[in-house]
Amino acid sequence: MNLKDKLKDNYDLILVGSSFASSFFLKKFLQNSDGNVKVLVLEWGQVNPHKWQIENGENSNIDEQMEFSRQGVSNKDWKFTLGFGGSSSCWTGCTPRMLPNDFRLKSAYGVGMDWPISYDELEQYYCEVEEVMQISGADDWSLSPMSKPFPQKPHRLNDIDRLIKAAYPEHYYAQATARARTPTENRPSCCSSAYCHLCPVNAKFTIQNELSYLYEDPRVDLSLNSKVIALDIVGGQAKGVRYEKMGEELRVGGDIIALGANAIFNAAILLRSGDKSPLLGKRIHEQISTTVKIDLKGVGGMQGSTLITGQGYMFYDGAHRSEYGACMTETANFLPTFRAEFGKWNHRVILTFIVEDLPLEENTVTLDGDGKPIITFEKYSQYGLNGLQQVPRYIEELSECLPIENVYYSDDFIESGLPRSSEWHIQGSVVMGVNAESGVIDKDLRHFQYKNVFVLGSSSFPTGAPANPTLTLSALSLKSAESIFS
Amino acid sequence: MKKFTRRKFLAGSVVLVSAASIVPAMHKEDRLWIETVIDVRFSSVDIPGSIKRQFVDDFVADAVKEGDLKRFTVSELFVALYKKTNGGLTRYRRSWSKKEEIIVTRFLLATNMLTNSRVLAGLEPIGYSGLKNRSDACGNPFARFDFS
Repeated sequence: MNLKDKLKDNYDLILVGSSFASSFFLKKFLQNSDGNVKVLVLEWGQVNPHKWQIENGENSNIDEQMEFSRQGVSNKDWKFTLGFGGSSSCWTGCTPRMLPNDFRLKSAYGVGMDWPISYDELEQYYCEVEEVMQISGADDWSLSPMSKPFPQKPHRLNDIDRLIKAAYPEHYYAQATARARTPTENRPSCCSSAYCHLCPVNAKFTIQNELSYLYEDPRVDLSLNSKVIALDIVGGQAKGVRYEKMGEELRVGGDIIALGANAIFNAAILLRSGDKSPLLGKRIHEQISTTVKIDLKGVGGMQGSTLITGQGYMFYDGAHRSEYGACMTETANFLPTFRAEFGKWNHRVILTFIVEDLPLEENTVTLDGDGKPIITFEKYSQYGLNGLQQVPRYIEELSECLPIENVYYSDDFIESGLPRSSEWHIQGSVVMGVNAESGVIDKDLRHFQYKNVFVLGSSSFPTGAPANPTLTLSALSLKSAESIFS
Repeated sequence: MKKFTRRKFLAGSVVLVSAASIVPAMHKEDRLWIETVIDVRFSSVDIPGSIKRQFVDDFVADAVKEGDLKRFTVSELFVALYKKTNGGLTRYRRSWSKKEEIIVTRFLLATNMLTNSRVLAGLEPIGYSGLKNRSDACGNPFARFDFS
């Protein structure tokens, strides 16, 4: 890597962060640029190699929870990783595409808002990200158009998946995943360890194991331990970036600036820069979910070849979305604990029901007196909670195809109908829209006010479909970088 | 002055005798239930005493390291009831069944029972490989792979 302490005065592009959003943007930017272009990447943390992460049992040496404060819903957590490669270190590697109607929630179902971009516009970029990540996915996928098949064949389903698949052939699939089914040049195949945030064999796609070559490109300087404070805005344009390194405040100039921090820090950087966009910092959200443990009569699971084997769309899209959120299911292929009864050890399945939550204006990122971000999460949307309340009914429906013996809901769900504390998918806060009234950035992720500023990542998501956001935000980054050259 | 009747005397004796037997039964043990879970849940398998002892030693040592031993320390009375109900007792409280499942899971993963089909069939002896760390590679003994 081209680690640099002494930087140039000015760069053609300054990228903030080195996670999925920044790295895919960088990839496309370098592809389209000549040999003279100069790029600076400012990364808050350091490089913690995979070996370091395994030995230390954590993804980063920075305690990210100390870098923001939170208020509102008491059990709400916000989880991510700071450091080179960002949350690609801690992610699980689930990469479903969003469905076409996820982009048009308002026009299809009269709730939320439409994205300013459609599935069809993003489709080619989905394919490109899937190729880079060597996604393994279903070969019979039929819920949205795909111009190219998944690069890797699907992971092996377990016996429980097969029962659900038989009952819902068009709405149940092997999960699309960046956990390699077959080895790539840089990764072995997934061994179903179920310990994905610290994958013992380094089988899931990470920025470190597949895209670190971008940071070895002679056109790219990487400055670690560089925490961005704000953009220098002059005359409605960003002229550079102010950042802190080793306790010193520094400045560097840039022609184009792309923020690829996350939905907390992208908003915080813009707020500290004096950005007055009406929607800035608003609508922070995640999907909401609950995990249910189900004992089965005479059917064992866990015979699949990766952590999450099946993905269910039985309760996802449809007219119900005008009343309550879409729900996607994930079937775990490993259990925290087996059943105790002899020979029935694996006669159990963990199903996670992931529901879309409608972003609300009152859920915000703001700053305290020292410029540190505060997340105020006042409440989940009733739309999302209503969706979550359908889970017992969904299980009742699944009992038509699964021989259910016992159902164990989580304590939070039983006591108060609440979801688990975090989905690890922080979204919203710098949302895209068709104009400055409906968003902070446009469909190319370009700031409406500061035309040389791009705000990448899931902070741009105007609504929160159940699908995991990584594939979509990576595809958006490719499209965004390409827009500079078109 | 209160009259000390024969009936009261007998009732008092019963209470005293019962208490005398319950008090020792309330004595708490940190190894006993772990051993008993293995005995009850694997009663049909011939598990050598040395493997059982080694597992309990390892389990206790790990629980001490994690500051977790208290969770598995129960009274002799609880163990007696657990044994009497053939494990059925844990059905009555989620926290009990969760702990029992932890013991069973860790025992299964510490042996070759799930990775060698001949072991459960009684054709090969049980082997003990030690407590697994969840971060060890490939910890799902049921997983099957298709690389074609």
